[in-house]
Amino acid sequence: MDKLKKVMCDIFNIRDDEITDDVSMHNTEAWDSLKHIQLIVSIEETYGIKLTGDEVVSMVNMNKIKNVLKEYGLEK
Amino acid sequence: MFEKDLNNITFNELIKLVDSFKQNDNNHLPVKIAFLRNITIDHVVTYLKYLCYKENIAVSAYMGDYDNIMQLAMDGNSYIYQKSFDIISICLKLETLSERLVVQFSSLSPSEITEECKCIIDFVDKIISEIRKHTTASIILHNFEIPVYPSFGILDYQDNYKQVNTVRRINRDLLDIVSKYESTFILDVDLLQATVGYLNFIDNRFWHIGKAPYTKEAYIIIAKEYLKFLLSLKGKNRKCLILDCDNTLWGGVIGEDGINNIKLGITYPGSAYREFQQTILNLYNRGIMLAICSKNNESDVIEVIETHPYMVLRGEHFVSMKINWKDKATNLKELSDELNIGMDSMVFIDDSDFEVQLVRKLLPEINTFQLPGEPSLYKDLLNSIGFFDTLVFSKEDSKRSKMYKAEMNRKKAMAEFQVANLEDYYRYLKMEIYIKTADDFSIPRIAQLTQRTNQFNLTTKRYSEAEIQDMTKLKDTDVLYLHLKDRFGDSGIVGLAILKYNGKGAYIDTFLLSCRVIGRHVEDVLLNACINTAINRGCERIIGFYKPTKKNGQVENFFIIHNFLTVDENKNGTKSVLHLKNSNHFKFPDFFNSIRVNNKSCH
Repeated sequence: MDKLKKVMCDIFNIRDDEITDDVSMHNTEAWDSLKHIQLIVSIEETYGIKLTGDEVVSMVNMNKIKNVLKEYGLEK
Repeated sequence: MFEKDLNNITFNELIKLVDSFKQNDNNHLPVKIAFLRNITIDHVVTYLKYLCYKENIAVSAYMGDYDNIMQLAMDGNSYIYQKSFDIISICLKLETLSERLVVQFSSLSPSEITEECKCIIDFVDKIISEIRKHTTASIILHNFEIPVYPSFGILDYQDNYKQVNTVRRINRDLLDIVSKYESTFILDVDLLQATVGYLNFIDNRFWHIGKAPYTKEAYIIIAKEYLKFLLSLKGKNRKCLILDCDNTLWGGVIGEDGINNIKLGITYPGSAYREFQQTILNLYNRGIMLAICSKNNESDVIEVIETHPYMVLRGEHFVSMKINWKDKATNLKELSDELNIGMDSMVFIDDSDFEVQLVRKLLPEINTFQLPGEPSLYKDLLNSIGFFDTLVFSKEDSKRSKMYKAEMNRKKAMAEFQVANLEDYYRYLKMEIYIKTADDFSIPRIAQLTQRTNQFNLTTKRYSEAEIQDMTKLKDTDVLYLHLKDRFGDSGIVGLAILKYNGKGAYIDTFLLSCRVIGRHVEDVLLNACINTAINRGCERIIGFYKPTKKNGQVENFFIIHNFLTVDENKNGTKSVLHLKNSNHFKFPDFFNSIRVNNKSCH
């Protein structure tokens, strides 16, 4: 999940060790809808994928993001 | 920092980079844009900031609250009127304005359609009219994207009143509205959508999730379009295109292949080069100056230009040709001096890696573009360069190349003419000066002069057409322009003075001269006209300001030379005064053929 961690660090300006499974839209002040768009675009760019609308709205915390990426076979 | 072009930098890298730009970089020209919108467009601003930074423009943007357009426009106390924005941008998605017209079109009756269109047009007209009550800032209005999957499918576009053509008609009506107001422009997002394709332009997921309809590609192309507007509004559009010859204007190398074997004609690849030349000619007709910079024997190139049957461009189209074996950086510098234009007004195109890298390194102010390997791609590379775009196209522009050529002739005549002294030469020029109060026809050129003139400019105040228009209506302000003709041709409007009156004082708000006519005492005549105008108004003194900039050092002592007294000097500039009651006026030099101020002869 190194690629994903780097994306999160870059977007939310947090350290590697601050990224836990419960980092979410609800508990991260900087994570508003504009940042969410940036997050999705960045993930799509990084992994070369195109997510569905459902996936986009579901990926509001680390856990759910990891799950979606696992579905694509991109992370374990 | 800017080595990565927009297609190679990741979204995150770009955002971080833009966030790191310093807010108050003194070298950068600040531009403030307020966005009135019913969509989310923050990332257009991100890309725009990046593109502008490369051109030494610092953009700051204010996002009006989502879908609060009319409220912000009508409220005289709203933020958009507090902070003197340069541009107010109106970004509307048709679907938000009228869901019926976009999503439910097939259920509407013809009268409902007409009614809906009228509502939209009236809404936009009202917004702009409200904005104009409060500010002369430029307004940029986005038009509407045509639905690419229209309501009735293939039947839809057979009919002038079904969906596709209804939206086209609305867009034309928007243009009619915009032309009623000063300094108000359309930004054609429909054209931008067509350029990249709807499927690459719209991201329907983000539209539903965050009312953010655009893809990254859309952000880039919209930002690039905004850049063209900003460059034009700030007088930073470029005026001169310099071209290489071999593998640029024709396929092959003239020195090696000979005139019969270069590729230029009606079959591929010659037809692609011919098409490229036609695109260049289009720029010439828009008032862009063309020049050549080629490493060749001069006679070889001239032979092609003058005699090759498939050349579109001929000798008359080029203001100058540097065809020699010197390095191109030296040649380009010489061109800049010869034409008296800054390198930040030049664009250079070459096919060679070596030449392009050289010029980019040594002369970074010039915008240098490298042609792609495939000649059929040349014309669109040139078309996509937005640096020549201008919002003001005056008569002067279409004649610009002719005027520069006339200037070259003047210089040649000066060198050849047997003069006892310069005054004889000036007399020989038979200069005619016409100084007039600004009228509707002259306003575009006047605004353009304030935006572009950097050297002979005492206060460097930049004005839009709307602002000049307003000034001409004020009773306490005079806007005077100077029109010059001589034996070689008509130079057009080349000087401007704006006088503002307060009590017994006349203040010179603006005093400038186009760089083309420096060195002929034309400025003396204009100043004298200002003094006389002030006297006629009953003023007792006339006050001049000099605000120093990087480019206007040559006019530092202009007022002093004309017998003004310096009364205040600080880091912002110098203020000087000429008392009118008992001063000795500067006499008009006698080498002018005629001088007319508002149609009265003064000679």
